[in-house]
Amino acid sequence: MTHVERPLFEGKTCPDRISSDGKRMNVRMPLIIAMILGGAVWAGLTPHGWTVDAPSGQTDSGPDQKSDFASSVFSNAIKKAQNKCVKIYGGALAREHGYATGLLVSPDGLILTAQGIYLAGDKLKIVLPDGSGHQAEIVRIQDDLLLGLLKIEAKTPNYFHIGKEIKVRQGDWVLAMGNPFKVADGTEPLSVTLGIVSMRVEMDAKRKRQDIPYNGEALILDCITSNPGAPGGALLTTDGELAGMLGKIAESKSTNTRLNYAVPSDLIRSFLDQKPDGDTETNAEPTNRGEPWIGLRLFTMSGKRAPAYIDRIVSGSPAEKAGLKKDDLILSVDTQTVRNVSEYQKLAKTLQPGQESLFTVKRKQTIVRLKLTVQKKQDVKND
Amino acid sequence: MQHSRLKLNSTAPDLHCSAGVSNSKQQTANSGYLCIFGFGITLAVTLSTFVASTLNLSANEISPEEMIQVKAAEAARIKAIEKVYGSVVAIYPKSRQGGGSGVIYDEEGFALTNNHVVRPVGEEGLGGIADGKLYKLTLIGTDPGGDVALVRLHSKKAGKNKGLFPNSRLGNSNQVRVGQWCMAMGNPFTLAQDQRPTVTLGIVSGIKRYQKGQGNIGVYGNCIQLDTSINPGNSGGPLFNLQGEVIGINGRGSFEERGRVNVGLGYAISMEQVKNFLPDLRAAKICMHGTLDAVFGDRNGQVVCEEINLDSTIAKRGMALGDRLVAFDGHQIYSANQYASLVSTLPAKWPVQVVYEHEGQQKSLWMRLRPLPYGTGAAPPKPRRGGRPSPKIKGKPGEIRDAKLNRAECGRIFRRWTRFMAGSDGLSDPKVFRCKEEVLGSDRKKMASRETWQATDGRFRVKIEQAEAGPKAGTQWGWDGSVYWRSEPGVEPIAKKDLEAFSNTDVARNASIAAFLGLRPLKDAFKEVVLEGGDKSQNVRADRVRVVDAQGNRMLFWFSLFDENGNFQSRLLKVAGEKDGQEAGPMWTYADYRKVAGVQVAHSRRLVKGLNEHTQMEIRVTSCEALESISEALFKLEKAE
Repeated sequence: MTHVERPLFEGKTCPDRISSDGKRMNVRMPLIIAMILGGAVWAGLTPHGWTVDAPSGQTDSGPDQKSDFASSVFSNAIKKAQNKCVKIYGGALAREHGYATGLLVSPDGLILTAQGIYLAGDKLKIVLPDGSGHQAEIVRIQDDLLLGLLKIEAKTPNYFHIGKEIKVRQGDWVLAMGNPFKVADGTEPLSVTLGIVSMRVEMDAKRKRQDIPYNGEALILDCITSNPGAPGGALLTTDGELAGMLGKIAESKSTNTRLNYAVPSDLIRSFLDQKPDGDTETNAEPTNRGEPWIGLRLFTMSGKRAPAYIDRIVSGSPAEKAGLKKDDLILSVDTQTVRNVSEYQKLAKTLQPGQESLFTVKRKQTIVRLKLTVQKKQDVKND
Repeated sequence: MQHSRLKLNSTAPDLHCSAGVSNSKQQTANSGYLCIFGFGITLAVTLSTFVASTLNLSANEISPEEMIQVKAAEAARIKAIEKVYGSVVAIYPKSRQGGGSGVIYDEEGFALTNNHVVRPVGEEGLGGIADGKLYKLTLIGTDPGGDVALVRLHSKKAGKNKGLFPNSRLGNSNQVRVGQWCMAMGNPFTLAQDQRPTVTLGIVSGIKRYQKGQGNIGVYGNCIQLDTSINPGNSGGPLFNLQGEVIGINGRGSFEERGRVNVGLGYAISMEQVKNFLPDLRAAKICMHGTLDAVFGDRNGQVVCEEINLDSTIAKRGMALGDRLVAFDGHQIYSANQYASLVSTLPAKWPVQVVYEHEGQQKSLWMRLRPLPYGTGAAPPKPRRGGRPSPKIKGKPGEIRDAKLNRAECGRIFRRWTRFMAGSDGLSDPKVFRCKEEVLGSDRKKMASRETWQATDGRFRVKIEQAEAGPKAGTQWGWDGSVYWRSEPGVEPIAKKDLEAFSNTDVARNASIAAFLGLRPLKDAFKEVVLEGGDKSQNVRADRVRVVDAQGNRMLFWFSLFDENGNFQSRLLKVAGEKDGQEAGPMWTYADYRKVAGVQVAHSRRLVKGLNEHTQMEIRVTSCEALESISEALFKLEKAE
């Protein structure tokens, strides 16, 4: 179809949409094209007629692409992502389902998924898009965002390139790809559902033990993804890029309703970058230097919205070396303002070991600026 | 399938499955059906629309021109919905307890729905459409195995639309792509008091999905998975593409954890499967699905026969345990699930090609699928405690449940055939065509050329002009309406009258075709006309009609269901004699129809053999013209000079 080759709109781009290869693009474009072409087709405006009863003897590859451009906007995104998602099978317990979805995030078999009972068993089986089965090891887990990083001994040339930038915003269309209810088996492609991002919000639902133990920013979705098997699946932009990972099922025990959410891709990037020490085989990139260690604890008794007063300084820690003191009120770190405990904690996680950060604190009636060199968390344990 | 099948691991017959073998061994999560019989609950549901979300975009990111286009697209969608809105039916039992949905595909009121919707409705129910009226609804045929049923709405009086119903076009589900938009319509939670359907929009989440049934009942093979919201009451309703074509019949959803409400996974029976069963449904049958009488499993990347009925056609033709299945019905087989999914969409007696590997040798065979027994599952469901029992639906699996309905459908096929051949009015007077033809052998070499005169009332005359093989040049034969004659140079001419003449298959065939054209009344022409069900000819789906004419000739006729654009069209595909329920005698296929003087003339006729219709001989029309006038003498035996 001729529409494929030429863009329908010129010059309308959003400055905050920069793709990983630096090209400016507008993520709404496919949506609009989809809607318009959908309409054009109904209105009989497309140059090619619709072949309705294809000649028999049609192969499994399906109909030719050109017949359905309106849908191919999504179809192409889906096709792009299908060979980067895996099926995960592990142990099950009572009502907890022993299967999930995972995302390939490196060429050497690293797989990202959500935490769940399937990670607890002895055996963890990964089924790649080509149908081959592999045993997986857990590399590490992250309890705030409920992430798990797995590794299989196989080359995985198709994987998601995850950037630091924020991929989707409120109101954007997203496609959720996963294996709810184990509908897909072996080489069969995963299920895809369409929805929009309702909002990006700090999720702090760890009020009781039963509630969602997620602690961080999440994308709330207008799309049913809280189904068994879907966690660990891909949240895609309409271009087929990774916007997030579908989160663990979150159900309110009191209302019996579920929350559909995803871990934003930029937070996933940070998690992946925090490579633990001891991994000498891979030549560590400058950013991949383990989890940061600052060595201070805030006064949290008044809750997460309380001002960020330092409650305790660990001796020998970067915080002590920098000269931070108990009862200092942290005002900012580098250029970022710190309004409360929650904001500091979020910020602290993003600091890179080896990096020098400028801490601005209020000590009694004076403002003090201190330079702090962040260390690796592992260093402490080794001491 | 009977008891003699073998399991690979044990030689003892497996008694647990004596009721019948299933085509599948697949283990996937089961999904629930979407009807709401037996539930007196009506839920108040707020339906959020995608439309609202789509327009919830900040104004600074969409230019006014883009907005106009978006709104135009929305308007087009609304228009597409309006076009098909009236064809969606809300189906209720007479008691008005519970209900499901359906879709009318034919102006005479024929509508598709689910078997599990008509089960509690029985043979008579009510169907409501968007005009707000409830119409009487009767059951035509049903397919318990594939969960499809055919019902008909009856309009009491010829209203402003002359009693014709709004209808939707049946689309092609082979062209459905993952990610494409799709709309579901129906009556979720029997919400609509005014019978106007609910519309929901979403995308296709998966294709070629398999959802196992209860035994051999309600199996969804090669079905469409959708994220479009469907809920109890949507059962039997249509899944549309954005052009308003029906691509599936919604029937199930994944209801595992949170009660019977939409969780984003719904399943629709593919329109391709529905079309495979359409002839059987229209024949007023309780349809049966086909089976190879063998079960296959995945082993080391190969699809291997794990169970086989030793009495089955395929075992007798050479397949054994451990043989590898290579291809089935034109599809390369790469997994046991794929095969199970494929075979579950085909009716019993469907002709298929099976390619398999036996002891390292690849073999190919053509066979008709055998009926897959339903066991006890085909009985109506037991009523819930306190509920009323389901009404009885007469008829046994595989049988025509109502001969009258079947005969009426035959009449409809012949009317369509007449319309195709000569326009909606048919022919008032017979026409004669003079054609130059050439005869090609199975090696495509020219055997003879001939001149023919064919009248649309069945009379004909053939004259061999030049011959390399077969009858000598100068040989002639014909039928003048009562006498069949043949003259050959140097041989005494033969002439046979009436009954004797009809024993010649050419005569019988031509006379019958003429009858379909409306030139002879059907009642006079045929003692018996039966739509046997679905079959395939020339690689397209066909209605297989059995005819016994006034002279006692038994013949089979194959008519197409659709033209190449997917519109209903009955054109003659094949003719054969019939004996003991099978094709017998010479079998001719008709193709390459071209209009000559307002009448369709098949420009290619092939003498074929076997289920794969292997060509033995072809008669090609090289030129054809209609004669101005008919001389009676033309078809009579020339007096020897």
